[in-house]
Amino acid sequence: MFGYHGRYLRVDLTRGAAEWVPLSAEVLRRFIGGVGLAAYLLHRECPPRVDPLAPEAPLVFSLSPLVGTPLTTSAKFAVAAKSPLTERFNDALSSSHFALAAKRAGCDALVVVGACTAPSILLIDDGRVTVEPAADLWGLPTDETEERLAGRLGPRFHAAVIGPAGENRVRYAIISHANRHAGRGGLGAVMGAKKLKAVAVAGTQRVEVADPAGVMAAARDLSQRSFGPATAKYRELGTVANLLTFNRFAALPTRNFQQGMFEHAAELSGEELSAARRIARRSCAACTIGCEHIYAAPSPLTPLPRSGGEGSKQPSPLPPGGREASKQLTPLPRNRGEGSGVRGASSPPSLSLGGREVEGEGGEVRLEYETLFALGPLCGVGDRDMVLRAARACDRLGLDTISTGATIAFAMECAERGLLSEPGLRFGNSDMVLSLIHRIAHRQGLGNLLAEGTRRAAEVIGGGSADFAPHVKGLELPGYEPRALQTMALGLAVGSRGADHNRSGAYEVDFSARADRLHGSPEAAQLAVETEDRAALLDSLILCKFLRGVFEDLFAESAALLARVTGWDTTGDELRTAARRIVTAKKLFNLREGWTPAEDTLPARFLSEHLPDGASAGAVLPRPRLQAMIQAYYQARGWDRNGRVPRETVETLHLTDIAGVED
Amino acid sequence: MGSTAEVTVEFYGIPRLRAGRAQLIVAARTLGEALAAVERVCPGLAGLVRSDGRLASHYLLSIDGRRFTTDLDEPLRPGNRLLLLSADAGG
Repeated sequence: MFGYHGRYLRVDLTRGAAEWVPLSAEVLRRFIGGVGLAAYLLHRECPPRVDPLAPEAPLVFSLSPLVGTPLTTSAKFAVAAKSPLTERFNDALSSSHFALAAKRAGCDALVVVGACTAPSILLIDDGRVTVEPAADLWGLPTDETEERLAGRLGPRFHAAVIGPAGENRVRYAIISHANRHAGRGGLGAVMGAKKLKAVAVAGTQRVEVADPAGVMAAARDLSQRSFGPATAKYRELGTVANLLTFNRFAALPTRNFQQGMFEHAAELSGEELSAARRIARRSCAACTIGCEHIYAAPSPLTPLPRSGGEGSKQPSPLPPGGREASKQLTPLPRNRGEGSGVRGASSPPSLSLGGREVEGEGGEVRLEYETLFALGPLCGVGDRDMVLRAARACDRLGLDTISTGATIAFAMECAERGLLSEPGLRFGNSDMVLSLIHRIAHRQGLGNLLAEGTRRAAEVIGGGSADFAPHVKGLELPGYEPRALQTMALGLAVGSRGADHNRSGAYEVDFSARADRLHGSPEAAQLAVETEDRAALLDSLILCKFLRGVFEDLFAESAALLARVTGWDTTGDELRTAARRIVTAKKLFNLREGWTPAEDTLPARFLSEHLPDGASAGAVLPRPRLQAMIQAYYQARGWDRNGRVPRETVETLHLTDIAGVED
Repeated sequence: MGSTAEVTVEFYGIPRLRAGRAQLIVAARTLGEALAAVERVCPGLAGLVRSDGRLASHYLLSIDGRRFTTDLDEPLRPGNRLLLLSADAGG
């Protein structure tokens, strides 16, 4: 078999056992790798209706046939589990040396079940599996954990780690590797529930490809194309360039989706950030695009600027004596969860400045549009240094920045409506954003409620707050205002992992002459399906989505790449079918876990409140319009009117082995 | 052919980098003429309009932020604002 090892490694932490499980060429050809293979494995390994944080819930790390080849952007891995945030299928991608080392360790995927009794790290070295104590790492931020592990294990090993948020089972905790994050849906909480601080991999087992010269030629060609105009935005500005553009279209979610424009957008723009704070540009391993723009977050040891939004008018809850009197090292708050008794002596200090808990140091931070929108405009914060600091705190504590920002913004609106009582909790109060980030990660005070995400928080808060809790299926919305981008609204509503911009690229339809972005239509549903299919293929091959613009025909060109790696006579049509199969496999998982049609919707705000501003003024997405789009989407997918997958579609997509067929 | 209109071209993302400015006022009868004027003033945006008369694939063009168009023969009205942005609009 070329391109694959033909097996996955199954580790049971409870039993202290590991086994190799064969993967047939037939399965690998149907599901390719990455997210596709992970979907297959979750169907196989995940007990129906399992608690996502229970020991028996599996955590899947999935590689792909392209990992380890010289093809640009192919050093990526998928992580999948039943989400503790949505209780539905969840997958997320990360990249770089962990992917390469995991493949060299000898497997196409790693499935972790069971749980350790004490904080541990899982070591996989050329297929040899050991579990080591990690009490000294428990409580450490993600970057320090990786640094410690590098010192302990040496450069052969590469680790995927969690921060305190994962340890404390925050439902939107991330898994990190080299400051790249499998970010959405709480995979870090799944890992934390297993008391796994890190998975470290190393190996020497290289996989042969069918046509080495052909792969090398394709790699050269793809690299050359990756230097062109289709990737210029990512290379030269990064995704932060979206902010000013989205603001112009009044599609920039602001103050918990109450507005589509932000008055401080210019100060937060990618252009201004680059000029004022950018210090470096970096790449993942085996990538020629170099999209990672690194910025300097100011040290909190220097005087903090006032917040830029209206929150600056709010008095900070300074203790008697003011800021200088309170500058002292204080211990981190104790965990409410199980990790509280085992934090190492080297836990990073938290600094109390003016009554605020802030991170112990400034430093560099990678920033993407999604982080920028969520911690900036969504919370009404216009101070770029505070956004940078908040972003860095989330990365180090191990929090998904989208869900963190959205949950804080939701809490801010609740407070302004009198549904929550918390001094200083107002839009624009950047000090409060920083404070809540730490309290969420450690489940302290109000942070304990917000660590549950907006859906669960709204259930507790009540008072109609569910109408403006910004989530779909429990996953907080990304930075695409649904009323201003109505084909994307469909993609957000029907996504298998919830409101998601990486599995549906339907915003591309809105940003085109093919659809009216302010008046979504059933005719656009097929276009939304096509963006999902392209994403499913890229996430399974795996290639970076930032490369998508260089392909004239993604399916045909991907088939040619895959054929050179695997030796299969793969065609574009076969991959198109595989992409549809993978999307439906994720839907079948959700059906098995109790999905109902009522989940495919948007919060009531988007269906009844008109956007107030700018180029989207007056836009709203009435429920009948959204329903018509959803029906067209189901039809385009071969699903029935209730969104269920009929036997005929299951059979056509060759999914009978994993499907609980619905008639 | 209609009469000449004065319109404002706004640049976002890579187009702004290439143009070296945030916006430009041009006089033109059609979108195509407006973009030709942009190319003359902003050499960094050379190739904006392809030799076949179509907008280069890595750019998007919106009229007044309300709708996108690829029809460069479309006539302009005074006060129109043309938004030029990178094709890869998402994250």
